[in-house]
Amino acid sequence: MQAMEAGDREIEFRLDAFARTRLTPDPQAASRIRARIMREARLQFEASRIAAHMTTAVPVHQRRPLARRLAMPLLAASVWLGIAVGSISAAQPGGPLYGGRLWVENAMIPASGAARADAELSRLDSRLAEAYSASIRADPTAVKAALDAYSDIAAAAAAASLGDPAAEATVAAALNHHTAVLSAVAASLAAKGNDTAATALEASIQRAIEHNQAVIDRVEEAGGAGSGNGPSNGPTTNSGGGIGAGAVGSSSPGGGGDAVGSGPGANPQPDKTPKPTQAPKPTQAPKPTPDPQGPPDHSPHVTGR
Amino acid sequence: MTIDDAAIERLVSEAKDGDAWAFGMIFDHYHERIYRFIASRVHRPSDAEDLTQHVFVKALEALPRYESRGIPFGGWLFRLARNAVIDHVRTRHDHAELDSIVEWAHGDAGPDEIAVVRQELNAVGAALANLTADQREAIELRFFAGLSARETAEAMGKQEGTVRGLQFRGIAALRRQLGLDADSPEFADLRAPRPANATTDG
Repeated sequence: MQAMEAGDREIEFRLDAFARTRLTPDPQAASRIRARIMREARLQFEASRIAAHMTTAVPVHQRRPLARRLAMPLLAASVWLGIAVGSISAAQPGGPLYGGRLWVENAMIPASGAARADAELSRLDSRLAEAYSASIRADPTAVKAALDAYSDIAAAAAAASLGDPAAEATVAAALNHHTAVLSAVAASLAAKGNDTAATALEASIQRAIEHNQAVIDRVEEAGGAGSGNGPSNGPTTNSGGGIGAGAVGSSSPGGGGDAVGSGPGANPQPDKTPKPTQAPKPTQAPKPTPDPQGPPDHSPHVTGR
Repeated sequence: MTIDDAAIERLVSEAKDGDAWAFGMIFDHYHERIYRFIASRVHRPSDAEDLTQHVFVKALEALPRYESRGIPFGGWLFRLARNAVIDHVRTRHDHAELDSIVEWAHGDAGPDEIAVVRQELNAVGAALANLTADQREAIELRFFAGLSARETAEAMGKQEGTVRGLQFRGIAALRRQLGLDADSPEFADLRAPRPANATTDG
C-alpha cells in the first residue's frame, strides 16, 4: 500500500513536470491571449449595456403592467363621462346650462321658410315634453324654465310664420294642441292636491296657456290681415281672413272665399260669415278631471302637425 | 493565486453584470490550466493559443446563460474547452500526439540533466498516448488542468465515480508503463528522496 502511494506520488510528480514543461504557455502567448480576451470582454459588456439601456429607454411604456396601461384611458373615459353627465344634467330645464343649450338650438335652426317653422315646432314639442316630465317630478323650477322657453319659441315661431299661410296654420294648430295638453296637465295637477309645488306648476302652465292663446290670436289676426291684401270689394277689411281662422279653428269652414272675384260694389253687405268658433279657452276648462288618477291622454310628443 | 469556489462564483456574478475586471480575474485563474488541457490535445502551440482564446470568448458569450445550480464554474468552463478541442480535431483532422509535443520550457539545467529530464518527459508522453481516450482525458483534466474530480466529471459529462475510476485505472496504467510498479526494479530508486531541482523547467 505504501509502495502504491509512493508510485502514485511519483506519477503525479512526473505528470506535473510534463505539464509545466511542455504544456505551459509562454508568458508572451498568455499576454496576447489576455489582451484579446479583455478587449472582447469590454466590447461585449459595453454592447450589453447599450442594449439594456435601449430596451429600458424605448419600450418602457409597452412593458408597463396591464392595470397601469389601462389606468390612463379609464381615467380619461371617467372624466369624459363625468363631464357629459354633468353637462346633460346642467342642461336640463332649470339647470345652469339650460340657457346655453337653448341658445345653441336656436343658432342651429334654419334661417327662414318652412324648414324653420318645422324646426321651431320641433323645439316646442321638446319644451312641452320637458315641462311635462318636470311636472311629473313636481319640479316647479324646471316646469317654469321649460314653459318660459316654450313661450319664447312659440312667439318666435309665430313671428317666423307670418306671411306664409300654410306655416301660420301649422303653427296655430300646434299651439292649439299644446294648449289642450297643458290644460290636461294643469287639471291633473289640480286634482292631485293643492300643495305648493302643484300651485306653482299650475301657475306656470296657466301662463303658458294664456301666452299660447295670445300667440294664436296674433297668428289669426295676422293671417286675416295678410289675406286681405287680395282683391276686395267690400268695406270690410276682414273679408279674406277665412284661411287662417278656418285653419286654426279647424272645425269651421271658414268664410272668406266668397269675397274673391266680387266686383267693386257688388256686395255691399258686410261679410256675414261669423268668425269661426274657437275652441274654448283652456282657462275655462273644468278643473276636476274625469279621471284624476290617470295621466292625461295627450302625449306631449304628439303634435298637431 | 488561490481562489475558492465562493470567490469564483462572486467573480462570475460580477462578470455577468458586465464587470470586465471580474472576467479578467476569472481569466487569470483559469487560462493556464485551460491552455494546458488544450495543449495536451492539439499538435501545435499556436493552435493551443487560438483555442484558448476561443474558449474564453465562448465563455464570455455564454456567461449570461450560465447558472450555477451546483455545477462548478470550472467544470462548465472546461466543458467548453473540451468541446472546442473536439471541434478542432474534427475539422482539422489533427490529432495531438503527445510524444511529438515540442518542449517549450527552457531551464538553466546542464546538458546532461536536460537530456535525462527530456527522456523522462518523453516517456510520460508515450505512456499517456497509450491510455484509453477517457483515461487520458481524465488524467489531463485532473493533473494538467488541476480540476477536482467533480469539475472533471462536469467537464466530461460523466459521473464523479466514473471519473475516479478512469483516473485510478489511468494512473495504474501509467505506473506500469513507466516502470513505477511496486514489482518493478526501477521502483526501488523512488523510495529515496528526489532532489528538489531534478525536474523540468529548472
